[in-house]
Amino acid sequence: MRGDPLEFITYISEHEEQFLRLLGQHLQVTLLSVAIGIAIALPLAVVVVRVDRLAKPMTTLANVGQTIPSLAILGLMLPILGIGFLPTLFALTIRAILPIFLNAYVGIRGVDRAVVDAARGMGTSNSQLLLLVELPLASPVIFAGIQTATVQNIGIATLAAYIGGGGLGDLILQGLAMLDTSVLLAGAVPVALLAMVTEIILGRLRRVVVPRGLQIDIK
Amino acid sequence: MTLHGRLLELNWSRRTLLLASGTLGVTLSNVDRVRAQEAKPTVTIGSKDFTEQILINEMVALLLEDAGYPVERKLNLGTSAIVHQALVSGEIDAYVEYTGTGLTAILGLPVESDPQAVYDTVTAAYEEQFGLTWLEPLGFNNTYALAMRQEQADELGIATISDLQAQANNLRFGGTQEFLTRPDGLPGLQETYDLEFAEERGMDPGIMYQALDEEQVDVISAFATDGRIPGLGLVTLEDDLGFFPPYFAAPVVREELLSEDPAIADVLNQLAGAIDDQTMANLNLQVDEGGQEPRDVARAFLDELATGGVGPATPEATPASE
Repeated sequence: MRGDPLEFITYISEHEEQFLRLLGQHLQVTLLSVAIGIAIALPLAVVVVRVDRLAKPMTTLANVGQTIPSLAILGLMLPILGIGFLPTLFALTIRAILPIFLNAYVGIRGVDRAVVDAARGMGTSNSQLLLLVELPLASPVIFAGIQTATVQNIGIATLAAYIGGGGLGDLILQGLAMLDTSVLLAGAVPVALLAMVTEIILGRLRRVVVPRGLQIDIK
Repeated sequence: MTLHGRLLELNWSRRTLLLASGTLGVTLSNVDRVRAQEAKPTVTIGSKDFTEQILINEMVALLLEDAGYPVERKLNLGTSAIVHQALVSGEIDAYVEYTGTGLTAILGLPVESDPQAVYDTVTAAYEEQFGLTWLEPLGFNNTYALAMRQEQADELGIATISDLQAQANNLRFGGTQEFLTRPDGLPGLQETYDLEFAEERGMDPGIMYQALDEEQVDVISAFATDGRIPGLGLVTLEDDLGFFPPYFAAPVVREELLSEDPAIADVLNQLAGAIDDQTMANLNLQVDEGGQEPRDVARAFLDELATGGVGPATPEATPASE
């Protein structure tokens, strides 16, 4: 309705301070949620792999959890966590845990039994087996889970705008509210770019972290 | 569709038959009546995304249904700009808009304080620019207002928006994303009153009240007719510099539809002047705090209106279907 599509660049440069603040909020909550997600999901996956009877209920729970809409999590947490940063972080962390846990579980489970037996035969302790054999061998799949969680959360973080959590979603909702394309794109384009750039950076990082013999391109 | 066709066919054959038998007058009027009923156009009603909007547009839908019009509801569409766009593009045929919103947010005209002048301006401009007709105002003025918790306002000695100026930098503001960008919202308000809040957060309209109540924010952009203001023990600040324009609610209808069926205007004008500020606030509260369905509240109000039981209603305002 209003505004030339490319005007969003002008909008960003005219509102630089606001834009950088929102971008900062967006990055902060996304990265923190993935970090907490890793801290919870990885150990959890390791435990579930070891304790077989937990496997079925936990993976089912994770799969079902994936289907709860993020907005519903935000709404449900309002009475407990209030508005703004905390409920946003909570919802995003839940969202991060699920893919990271599932990938880590599948990755570790998928390690060739023959390799594990060989390691056992060489007399490795439990922790050595985990750190030297299982995690490195599962790392491509684990890393793919982290990548999925991060890119996905960059998108979901826009929902914070509904509950006073700020972030680039503010611009998207304000643009939508006024049907002002330049404001809407000032929020939407950076979110898309952010997701792409993150994908690339994490792709590079994967090459550093994953052992050379296991380098495969996971798309 | 086929049923329609058959009915028409049936009437036609009856008509020819009766024509032959010579009772022309009676039959024709009969056919006309059936035709007129069948020809009533389907009316699509929209609304914005907050309680009062859903409630009054539900009333509009029910009134039309009572008068025999097929109605399609597309309520809870979103912000003013979105619903307006839907109306202009013909996705919906009518919704209730506020004069001040039409003036500033839609037309981008400067704020004016005389209610009649605002109504006249939007009526003329909507007709010329969009081919849309404003019907008669419903009676209430749902102006924007800044609201605070009563205790905090008393404690800080804030009664007017001017009083806020000295203390705003210690207060957190919460508003709808729409209010944060509208010219008659925060940007204009900050300029008029020279306000700088410690924090400005955008959120969903429903969450805003909860956030204020739970002390997550200190000042919100409320609606004057929102029942939660008394319900939660909130106080609205006086707009002492007269920044906000009047926001009288009135149905806006596509001109095309009105020229096709002018009777629609009469049906909707039954609501003219029927709802004052207090009545609207009470109705809103029944939904927001009472947990009732908007449709039930709307139905009950219309029934009361029909029997002359409420407010300044005119006695002849009965559903046209009877």
